[in-house]
Amino acid sequence: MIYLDNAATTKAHDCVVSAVAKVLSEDYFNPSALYLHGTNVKTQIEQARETIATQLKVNANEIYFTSGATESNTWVFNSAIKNKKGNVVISAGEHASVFNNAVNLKSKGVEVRICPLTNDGRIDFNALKNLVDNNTTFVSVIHCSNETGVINDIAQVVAYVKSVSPNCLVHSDGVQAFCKIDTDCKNMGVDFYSISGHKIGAIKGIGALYVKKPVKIAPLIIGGGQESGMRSGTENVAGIIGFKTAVEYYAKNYDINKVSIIHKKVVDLLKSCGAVINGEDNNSKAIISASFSGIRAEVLQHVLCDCGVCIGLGSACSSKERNNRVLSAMNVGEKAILGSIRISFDVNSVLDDVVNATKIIINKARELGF
Amino acid sequence: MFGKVIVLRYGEVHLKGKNRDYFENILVKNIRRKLSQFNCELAISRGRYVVKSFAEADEKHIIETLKTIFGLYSMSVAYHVTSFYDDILKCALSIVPKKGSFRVTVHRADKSYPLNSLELSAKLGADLLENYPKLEVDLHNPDFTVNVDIRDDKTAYVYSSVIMCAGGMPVGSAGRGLLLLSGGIDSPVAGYTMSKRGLALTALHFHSYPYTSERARNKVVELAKKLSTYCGKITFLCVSATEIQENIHKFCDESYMITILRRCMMRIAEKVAIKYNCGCIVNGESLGQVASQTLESITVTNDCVKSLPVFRPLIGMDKQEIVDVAYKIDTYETSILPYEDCCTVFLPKHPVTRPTIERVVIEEEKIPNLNELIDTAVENIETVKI
Repeated sequence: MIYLDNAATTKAHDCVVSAVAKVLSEDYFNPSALYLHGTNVKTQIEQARETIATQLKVNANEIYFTSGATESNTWVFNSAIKNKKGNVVISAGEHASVFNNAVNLKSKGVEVRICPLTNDGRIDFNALKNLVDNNTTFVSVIHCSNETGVINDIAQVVAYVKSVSPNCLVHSDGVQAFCKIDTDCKNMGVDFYSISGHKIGAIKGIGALYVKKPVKIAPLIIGGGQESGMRSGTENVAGIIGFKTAVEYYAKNYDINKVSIIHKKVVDLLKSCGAVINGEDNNSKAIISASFSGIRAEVLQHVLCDCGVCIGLGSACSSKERNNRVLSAMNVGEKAILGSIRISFDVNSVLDDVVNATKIIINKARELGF
Repeated sequence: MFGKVIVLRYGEVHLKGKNRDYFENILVKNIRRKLSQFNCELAISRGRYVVKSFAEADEKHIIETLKTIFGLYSMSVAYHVTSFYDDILKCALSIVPKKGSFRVTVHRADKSYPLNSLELSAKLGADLLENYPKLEVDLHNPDFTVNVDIRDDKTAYVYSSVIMCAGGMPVGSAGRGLLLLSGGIDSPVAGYTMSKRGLALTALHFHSYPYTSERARNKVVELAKKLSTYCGKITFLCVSATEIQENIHKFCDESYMITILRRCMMRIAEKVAIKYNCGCIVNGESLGQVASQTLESITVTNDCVKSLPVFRPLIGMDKQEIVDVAYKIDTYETSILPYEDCCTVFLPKHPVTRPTIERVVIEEEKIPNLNELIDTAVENIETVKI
C-alpha cells in the first residue's frame, strides 16, 4: 500500500513503537511515585518536555502535554480568553477544532470576527488589518493549513496584532507545521502554540500546548497537580516518550529538499493531466490539494484504496454537508471542491512510490470521466 | 382497584367485514412481537386490546413502542376498576385535577348496568363537583375529560387523555413489497408510507463497490434498521451494480447513463421481487425532483417492469413534505450523511431529462451482454436480516 494521507495521521515509526513498548512493559511506574522507578519515569517525561521545547525554541516549563491538538486548542479557547471583553479574530482557514471553538464562543455572546483567505490560501493580511482593533483580545491563525499545506506568516500576524492591541493574546495551531517547517515560537512571538504527536509518527492521544511565560491560563483539569497543576491526571507516559522519540526521528531524518522534490514532481504530474492545485505557493511541501472537477473525489478515493493507494479528501465526509469550508474560503468552485483530493507526505515518503501512486490517481480519475 | 393498563384501539381494521379476523390476527401478532421485549400481558377481547401487568418504569417505553405499530389508531393509559360506582368515583377523583373545567364521557358496553350513560355521566360529574368545588363543567371545550368505559364483565376503565397511534393497516396484511432503498431521504419515507398501508418490506440496495464505500452500505443498513421500527422485520438485499455501470460507461452515450442504469435496476428489482415473493416494487420517486424523475424518465424506466406494479407513494409530494416525514421516522439525519452512492460514480455532464424508449433501446443494444450482467448481479445478491 502507498499511504498518502499523512496529514490525517501517520504510521508510528519503529523507534516510536519500541520506545512506547518499553514504557508499557518496563517503565510502567507512576511518575508521581517517590520510589526510584517512578522518579526515573518522571525524569524521562521532563527530558521529553525538553526535547519538544527545543524543537519549538522555547523553555521546557512553557510546554504542557495534552491528549492532542484538539485538546490544546480547546484549552486555549476555554481558558485563555475567559472573562475577557473585546473581540476575537480567527482566520477562515482554521482546522475544525479551532473554528468550532470560535463558533462556540460566538454562541456565548463573544464577538468573533473571521478573517478571509486569499485565493492562494493564505490569510488576507489587508483584511486582518481591518478586523483587528484595540478591543481585540484574542487571535488564532493556523500556521500551516491542514487542507492545502499553505503557510501563514505568523510572525507578521503577531507583530501587527500586538502593535494595535498590545495585550491581545495570539494562538497558532501548528499541527501541520511542527517538525516540517520552522516553528520557532519565540521568533513568531505567539502566546500559544498547539502541536500533535500522531502527525509526525508518534502514537495517537498525545499532543502539547506551548504557553508563553508569563501568560496566565486557567488549569484544564484539576486533580493531583500533574503538569504543574495545569492538567492533572496521571501522565500518558508512553505517549509522551513516543512523542519525544518521533520528534528526534523527524529532526534527524526530515529532509525538506527531498519532500520538495516529491511535491514538485507530483504537482507537475497532476497539472499535466488538467487537475488544479489549490494553494500551490508558499507551501510546506508536505500537503497537496488538487481538484479534479467533474468527478467525485470520494469515489476516486475508494477506487484508489482498491488499488492500494490511500489519499485524503478535500471534501470532508465528517461533516453533514459535502463541502469544504477552507477551499470555499479560497473561492474554489463547488465542482472543484467535490472533486478535490489531498495528498500528504511524511518523513519516509519515497519519490518513486509517490510518483507511481500519482500516475494511478490520474489513470483512475480519467476512468471516472475526468 | 385493579391497576393501570393501556387500552388500545384500532382504526381502519374496524371497517372490515367478514375478513376482519384476518387483519386482527396480524395486528395482534405484530403487537405481541413488539411487546415481547417487556414483561407484560396483552389481553384480547372483542374490539378491545388491553396491555396490563407491566412495570411502572416501562410505561413510557411501552407507549412509545405501541405508537410505532401500524393498525393501531389510539390508546389511553387507564385504570381498570370494578364497575361498582364507588370504585369508579374513587378512581375519577384520583385522576381529575382539583380545579379547571371538565366533562365526563361514559361508554357503556354492559347494557344491564343500573345507570345509563347519561345518568352515570351526570351523577359522576355532580360528585366530582361536590368533592372539588373549584371544578366547573364545560361540555364543549373542557380542560380535562374523565372517560368511563363500562365493560360487560363487571369492570370499567377510567382514563383521561387519548394518545394517537400510527394509524394505517397492520404490516403484512397487504402482502410484501420490494423497496428500492438508496440511502437518500426519499426511499425510507416511501417504505414507511407503503408499510402504513399494510405492506411488509424486503429492501433492495444497489452498491458500486469498490467505487462506493462500506460506510455508504452501512448507512443504508442503518436506515433499514430505523425503518424496521415501523415496518417490522426487513430482509436487506444488496446487489452490486458495478459491472453494469462500467459497461454503460464504456459503451453508451453519457447523457443516457443514469437512465440506462435505472432501467437495469428496475430489471434486477423485478427479478429479485419475484424470487423473494414480493408482489410489487416500491421506490421513492417524486415527479420532477431530479432529471431521472421527469415524466419521460419514469416512463422509460417503468417500461422495463412487465409483471409487477411499481408503487411510487411520494410521487405527488414536495421535498419538504418528504423531509418532514423523514424527521418524524428518524431517518433524516442518517440519510444526509454525505457518502457517495452508486448514482455519483460516473457523472454525466448533461443527463437527459426527456429520454425516449426508442433511443434508450438503441443505447442498451450497444452493451454486448447486458442480460448476462443483470443475471449475474441477481445471482450474487447478498442478504442481511434486520
